[in-house]
Amino acid sequence: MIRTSVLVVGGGPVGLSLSIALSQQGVPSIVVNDRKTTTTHPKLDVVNCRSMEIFRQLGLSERIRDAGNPRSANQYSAFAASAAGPMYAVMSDRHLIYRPVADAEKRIRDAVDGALPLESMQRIAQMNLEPVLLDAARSAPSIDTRFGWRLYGFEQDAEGVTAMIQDVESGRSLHVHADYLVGCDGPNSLVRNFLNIDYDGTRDLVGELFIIHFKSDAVAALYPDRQPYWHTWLCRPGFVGLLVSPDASRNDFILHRPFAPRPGESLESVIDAALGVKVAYEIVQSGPWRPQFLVAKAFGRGRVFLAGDSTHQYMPTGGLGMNTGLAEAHNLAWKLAATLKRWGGETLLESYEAERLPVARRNRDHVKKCAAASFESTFRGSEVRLDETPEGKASRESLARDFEAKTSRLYESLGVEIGYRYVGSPIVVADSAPEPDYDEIRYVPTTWSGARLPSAFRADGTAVFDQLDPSGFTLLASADRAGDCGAMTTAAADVGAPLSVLAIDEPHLIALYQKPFVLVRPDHHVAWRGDALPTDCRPVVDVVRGASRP
Amino acid sequence: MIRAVEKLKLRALLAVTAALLRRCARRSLRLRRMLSEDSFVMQIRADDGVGGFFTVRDCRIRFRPGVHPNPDFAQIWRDSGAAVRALTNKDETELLRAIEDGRCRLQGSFLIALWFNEAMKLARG
Repeated sequence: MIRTSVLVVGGGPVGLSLSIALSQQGVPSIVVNDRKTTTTHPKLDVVNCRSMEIFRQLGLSERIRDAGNPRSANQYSAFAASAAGPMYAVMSDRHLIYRPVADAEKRIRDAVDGALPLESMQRIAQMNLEPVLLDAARSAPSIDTRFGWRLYGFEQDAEGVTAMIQDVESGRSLHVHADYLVGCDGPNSLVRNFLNIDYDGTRDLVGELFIIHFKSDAVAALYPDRQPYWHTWLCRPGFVGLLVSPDASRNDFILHRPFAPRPGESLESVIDAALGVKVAYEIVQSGPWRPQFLVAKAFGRGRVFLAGDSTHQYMPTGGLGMNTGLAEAHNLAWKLAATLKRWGGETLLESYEAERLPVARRNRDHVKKCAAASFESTFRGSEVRLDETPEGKASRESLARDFEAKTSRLYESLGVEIGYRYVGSPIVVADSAPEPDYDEIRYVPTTWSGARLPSAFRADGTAVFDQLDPSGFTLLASADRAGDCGAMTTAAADVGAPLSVLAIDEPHLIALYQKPFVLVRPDHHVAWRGDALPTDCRPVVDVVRGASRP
Repeated sequence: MIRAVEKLKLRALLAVTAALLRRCARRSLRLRRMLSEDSFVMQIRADDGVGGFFTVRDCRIRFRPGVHPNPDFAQIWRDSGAAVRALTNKDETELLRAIEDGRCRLQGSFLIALWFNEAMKLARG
């Protein structure tokens, strides 16, 4: 029998990130993964802004950028008849996220209104992301990574979870006793099935799409500066698709088609049609897949939780699959740590589902809108005229305008990525102000309780996020009031909850944070804010640590 | 003669679809919830003149043959035969094939197409 604090089932990006986040909090874990290696399929192609903020907190953002699209390379999305052209539209500068990371970082540093994330997105394939995470997990002494081991079954009681894991090759079995188990084991989650939790939603609304992964050194030459665009949406009469380059410095390309090759079509003929020219390439793999819009009805039972694709399956339009899962892991990690360290109360772990299930549903709705927008744009291509007449030119311009208006929502929805708020959370002290307007596309910075703290920089250039405690609460206090924080620090110390005070004296930050006191959780979300500290701060501390209801 | 039969089949298919959806609305909590959350007009028609539109409003779904002047979403088929073959195909992807090769044109919000796909899946059980 092996003992650990948390058994993580699934060694994909979400499971590995969860174990790394737990390690940062000083919590040991075992990660079991039935595959012996990380994925060889490109899979996801973006780590979004919020996920990069999380990876920054975990100390991984630079390593991930090193493994992905070069910092100087574009993150453009284009609309074209084929990769060889003509290009109807290229979204390159209308929003931060299309800019090369180096340029986006400058824009972020120059912003003082909190309207931008701390990190820009990163174009990267999952097959290049996972090795970075696995390497980080293997170097952490408190993480026991067991690739080539699978979960066989588990039982839970009031004391913990006893699981049987099995070496996939030898069949050797081991018992693991953990305080908690988290199933990050994907869309066909064994853990979710053991818990008898269903997805909410109807399957297969779009049917069976088709994907081809190929390698080519020649495709880059079709793009300016030999830098393939991130996404090239393809549409012309008789052909629609999406060509993805997850990394401009590599020769991997993924061609998405809305259906499998027709009778008489070959994979090669489909690729040739997408590229618009005959060049050399090597097909790595291909196959059908079924996009879904599903969210689990519950995020766990008792001492067993779910995160990642085991809680939701989305069509990739909008890039919210792994990114939603990563935010789930980030939300869960500090709560597990606080509970294990005994300063977290009984409702702390309950709040995981209360906070994240509504976000998962909202993200599903957003992804559906993105899917609809991309279908509407690309299928209009059957009407486009490619001739060099005024009518042909007007037709292409009309298509380009429609594409930018509709498909931009897939990329520019900072409201969805960083504007989510934990409304009605049992561990957030209800704000006395009405909830500010929420917009899916435009992020509205606010410290309204439950929102993510807007990101900004100190006068010396340090990011405020870098000064927040990843393992405890941080009380932001305007400098002239920082001496008044004793009641809060004492109340936290009385129950063993870590709480540090960060005095803020920069006028732009005092204006941005809206209130002189803002209590921030380890996951960057505002737990409470006020014009003055209560005389007795214990009730506030008890709510935010899950020891009493708001 | 064949075209007349295909037109007849499309008229019948649309009428049966409406009946199936109404029956499902009585039985399926999920469809009732969908009906309560949305409001739109969806047109299905063919260039040969056959067509009808579904109106979702006030938690109900109604069907009328003919052409709506301003539907929120329209599937416009090249002819009744193409519509019948695609709409009775169990492979959801057939609609996408039909759009790509020009047998069908779409106008309006594709979200309504996803709504309709889900409703039809529920109706077929």
